[in-house]
Amino acid sequence: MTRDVLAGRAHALIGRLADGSRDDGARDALLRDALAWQARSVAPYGRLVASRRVDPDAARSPADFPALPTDVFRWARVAAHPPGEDARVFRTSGTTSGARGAHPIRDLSLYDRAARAAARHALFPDVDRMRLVLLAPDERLAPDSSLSYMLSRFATWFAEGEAVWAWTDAGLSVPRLREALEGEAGPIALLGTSFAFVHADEALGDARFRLPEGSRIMQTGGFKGRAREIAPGAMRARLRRRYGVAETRIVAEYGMTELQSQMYETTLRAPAEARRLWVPGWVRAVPVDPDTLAPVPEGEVGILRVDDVANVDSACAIQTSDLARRVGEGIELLGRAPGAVPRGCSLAVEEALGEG
Amino acid sequence: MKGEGNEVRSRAARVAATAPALRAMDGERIAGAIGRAAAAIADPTADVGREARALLPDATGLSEAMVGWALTHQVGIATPDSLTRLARSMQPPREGAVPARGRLCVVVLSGNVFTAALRAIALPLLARVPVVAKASTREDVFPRLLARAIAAADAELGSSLDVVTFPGGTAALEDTLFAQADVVAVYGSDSTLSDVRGRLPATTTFVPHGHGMGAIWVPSDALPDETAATALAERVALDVAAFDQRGCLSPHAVWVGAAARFPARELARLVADHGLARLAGELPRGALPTEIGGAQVQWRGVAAARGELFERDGYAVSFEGPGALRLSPGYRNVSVLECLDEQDLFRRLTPLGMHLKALGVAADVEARRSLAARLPAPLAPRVSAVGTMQTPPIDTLADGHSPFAGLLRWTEVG
Repeated sequence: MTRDVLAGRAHALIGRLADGSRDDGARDALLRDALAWQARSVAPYGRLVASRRVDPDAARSPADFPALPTDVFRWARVAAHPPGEDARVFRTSGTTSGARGAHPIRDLSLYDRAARAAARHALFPDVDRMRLVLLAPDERLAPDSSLSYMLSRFATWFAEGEAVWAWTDAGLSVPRLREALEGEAGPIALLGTSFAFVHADEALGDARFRLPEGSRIMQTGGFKGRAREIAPGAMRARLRRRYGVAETRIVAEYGMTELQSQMYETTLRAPAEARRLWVPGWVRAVPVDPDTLAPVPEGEVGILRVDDVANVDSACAIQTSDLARRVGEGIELLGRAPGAVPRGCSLAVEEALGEG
Repeated sequence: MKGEGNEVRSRAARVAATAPALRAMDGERIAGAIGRAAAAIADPTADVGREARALLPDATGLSEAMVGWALTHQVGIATPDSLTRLARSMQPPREGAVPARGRLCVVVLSGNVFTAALRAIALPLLARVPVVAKASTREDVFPRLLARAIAAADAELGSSLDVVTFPGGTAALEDTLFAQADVVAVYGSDSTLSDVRGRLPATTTFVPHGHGMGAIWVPSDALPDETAATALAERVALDVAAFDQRGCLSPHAVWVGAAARFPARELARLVADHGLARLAGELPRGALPTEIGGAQVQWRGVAAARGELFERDGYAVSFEGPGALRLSPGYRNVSVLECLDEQDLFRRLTPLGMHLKALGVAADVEARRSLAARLPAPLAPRVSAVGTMQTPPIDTLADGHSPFAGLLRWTEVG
């Protein structure tokens, strides 16, 4: 099995399942082959596999392989290819210690295919193109941000006319945002980070908008200590009041630097159903027990493991620290529980050392 | 809220009103009553001891065996004699000075090591200052049992102590309490200390006890062979396992001198397969909270990807050569690392600053004393033998200060 064969299979699978259909057998077969290849080709993943005493050739399903914790991206290069072949290096948001995770990307076409297919299915299922207003820096301002890269592609794939970037090198541009929101040219997709939405909320004062019918809001990302934490429900209520859209038109996106595929809430496609993340057919998302790493039963809370066929050049199995539970074929993301049990004394030291 | 505020105010006033009687009390009587209370809680056959063993596992998340160990080794040592010795260590800074005791000390307890409440409450009482202890609603079992046991041992002394909790934890109620106090002693994280410090009246004495961690230093000559390594691994394991590594003295890293004849990697393996394996049976770890589990998965995964991980059911030891320290999530996850020599160790410890609360050293007391004198400031107020990091004597210093520092002032008589 070669890298190019795996990449070709990943392209084909994403293309085939872009309509929302599922073929878990084909997905798992590809993940198994990719993980076996990565165990031999990606040094830190290979060490993890060896440490867990997994024989890549004997493993029969992706579940037989360990998932690489996201923290490893902060401490080691996770890639099968040399740095000279990097097309991009996406980096995680800075921590207080300055240690940022890095995800070297060799082949952006896989990223593009996965991102486009998921957004088309969950975020733009009803329109080919629409006005885009973006509350995030574009990729020129943030060349190592996977989110900025994705939104820049959205501007090409989904924007009607020129997308409006309301975030400039000076930060939020309130005039640009107001001008875009007050136009009469049809529905708007307002896309941005939670942090940016909070910032905009504070900057807009008493201004209220009523976005045209068919508009939608996509918010993504946590707060990363950059603003006070706001619960998802409270955040949606703020957005509804500020922009005049129904909460069923507000969609959360779940993506991370360490993954090339994204998940979206099902709200736009199934407004009457409880919110959950749609797991694209080429992604396997499983909450696991933090101690045993075995899948937890449906409805029980675990930490989310995500297997993504698009991660051919790094590690297809990623272990996050996010709390989640499985609900049918979807995932309910719980984030970090409020009042989480303190980790004891080491937490204070971690704060002091800035390792958070 | 107003009603709750009034109740807090009146409870604090009731305790403060006992100050004259407490001042008149004989020190040995106070030490005797606290010692009897501690003995009763440590005694598995006493009613309060049985109750402690029944309630504390749920309240603390520790296993029943770990709770029993803590009661024996940290509560049981508070004998009347040891408490009397502790009280006698309270010396005037100048001959002839007389104590100027406050009317009320408020102690804000931390939840990570439940037995810490014993000394936190005993110190003001031994200083003959009435005390109101504010516990978290989740972990108020031990302070309440202690208060009840002290009252049973000596009802008059018991009236000088109250334990309060504020469900939902409101700052307003805390402030009401603080307003009654001459001294506020806080056990908690840096952010808790900063928060409380900023809210106190200017004339209130603030006594901070911040969180931290421990580390272990194994000089090269302490590892001559497997026999020595095996014995050391047992002692390291006990320091790590106690309180499931949630304490301020719990070691998170073991640095081994690079010139040791017995390889540091093999010590890591022994700590896992010999030391922690044995304790997993004798003193099992408590349940792992899911939130901690997320951090544990990350910590272990990085260890496996960067070095070697000796991972078993309920504990793990990493070996990452001379790599940088990564703080573990606790719950029996510890790093073994190499360092060149003592100077290299100091360089690695320095960033921890005052957060390094304890340094276990695999050397005799003379060598430990010598090393303590060379430590860069301001590090490790406690340097102890490996295997005893979690069992300091009852009269141990508090962050390098006298245990009674700040709890009372002295009046100079000219």
